[in-house]
Amino acid sequence: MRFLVYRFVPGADTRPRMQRYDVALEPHDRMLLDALERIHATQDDSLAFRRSCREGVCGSDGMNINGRNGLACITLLAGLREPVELRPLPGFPVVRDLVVDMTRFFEQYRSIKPYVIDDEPPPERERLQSPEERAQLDGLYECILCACCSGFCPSYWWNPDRFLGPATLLQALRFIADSRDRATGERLEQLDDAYRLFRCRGIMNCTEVCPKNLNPAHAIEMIKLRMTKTLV
Amino acid sequence: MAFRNVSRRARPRFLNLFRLRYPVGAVCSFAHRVSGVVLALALPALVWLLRLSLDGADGYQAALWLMNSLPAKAAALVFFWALAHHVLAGVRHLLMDVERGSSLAAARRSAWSVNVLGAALALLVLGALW
Amino acid sequence: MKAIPGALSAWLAQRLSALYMLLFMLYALGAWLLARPEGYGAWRAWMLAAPIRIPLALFFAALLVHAWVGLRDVIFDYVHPMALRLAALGVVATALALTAIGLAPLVLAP
Repeated sequence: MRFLVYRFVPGADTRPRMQRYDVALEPHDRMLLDALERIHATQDDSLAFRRSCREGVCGSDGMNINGRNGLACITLLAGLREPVELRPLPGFPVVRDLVVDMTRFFEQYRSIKPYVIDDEPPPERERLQSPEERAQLDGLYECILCACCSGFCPSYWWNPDRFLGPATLLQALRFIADSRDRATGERLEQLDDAYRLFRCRGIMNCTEVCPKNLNPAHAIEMIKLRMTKTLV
Repeated sequence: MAFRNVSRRARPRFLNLFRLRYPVGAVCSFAHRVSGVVLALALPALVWLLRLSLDGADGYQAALWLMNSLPAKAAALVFFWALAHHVLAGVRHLLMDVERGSSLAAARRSAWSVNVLGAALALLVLGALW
Repeated sequence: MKAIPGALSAWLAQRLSALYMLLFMLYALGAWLLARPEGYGAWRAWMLAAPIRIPLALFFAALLVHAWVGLRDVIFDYVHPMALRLAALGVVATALALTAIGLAPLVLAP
């Protein structure tokens, strides 16, 4: 199978280049990550990519696959058009080859305080949540922060330093929607900003590429709706 | 370690827009933006035309004559496409704001419809006017 | 970095102006189809009668607000150097102000 892979090795390359690999796959090589490991093992151990769980849970191997972002470990090789073109997540600074610098992405994640805030003294036992309240978090808590969505969002491409991006905003709603959280007002106030939230114009590229089938675009609409409701 | 010698500034970014495959929603959204800018650019000309048409019988005739000229028809085609697409895509967004059609499947369908209907409406209006 | 408040208001203004313009365009189209004003006199009378002129004035106001928010967003997205951005915003604001002046006689005329 033929692959075209984005290569950039700091120190060796002055600019990125595309490298061709023709790989003889083994019968049990079924996912794109298997092919990358095959290349790494049999042809070129200088090729860098991140991986960990290899089953779509850790979110390490997000990359641009034939023009769309996805996780290599859960992308079937069958059905990929050849040559398979692999590039790092669009817009992110490239550390090396397919490995991107996620520093800013995680700083943004931290900025929305991704934890339940409640300064009240804790009750005797746990803070209870009804099944209905818990259901509000479905479709939000499953995010694995792989950055496939933010790396496919045009608004994030243009303003990666000021717009929080779909992944972080989905997480923002996860805590806004949590019945146990006491900081909803501050959270909404923090997001009432022409950049942080309102660069989103509903393109929905995020939802198109989410490997967990979540809907960040809808989460952002929900935040706007909640904000509007605080006015009335 | 080669890593350490390279400053952050030296890090390239991959963002070649021609190497990406866009979903139909992105096309709809991009056209929404382009049509909005077209409408904004057309605004001064339209205000002028409207004023001309109300500025005496001669002005009215001049406005009618201008609208029937060939360049005006070409401009009108662009304008009516921009108007139709912008309004339809806008309605799509307004509905999504109140959680109508926010699922991916529904959003894909509505994006297709807006893209096709926008172009069809423009041709229809043009056909009706001339 | 502190948040720039009022972003929600701009977004809401964009949505509400859109909604009004949509309703007005449907109304005006319907009214025009019913009246079908032919010739200068009929056209002018139709345009300047209160049932059109007053909603039309509101329409132009909504249009200017809507155009401002939309063009501002385009500039926020693509124009990053601060000096250039302020210049672009200035050009848009001036153009819209001039358009408003150009529109004034239409909606103020008796």
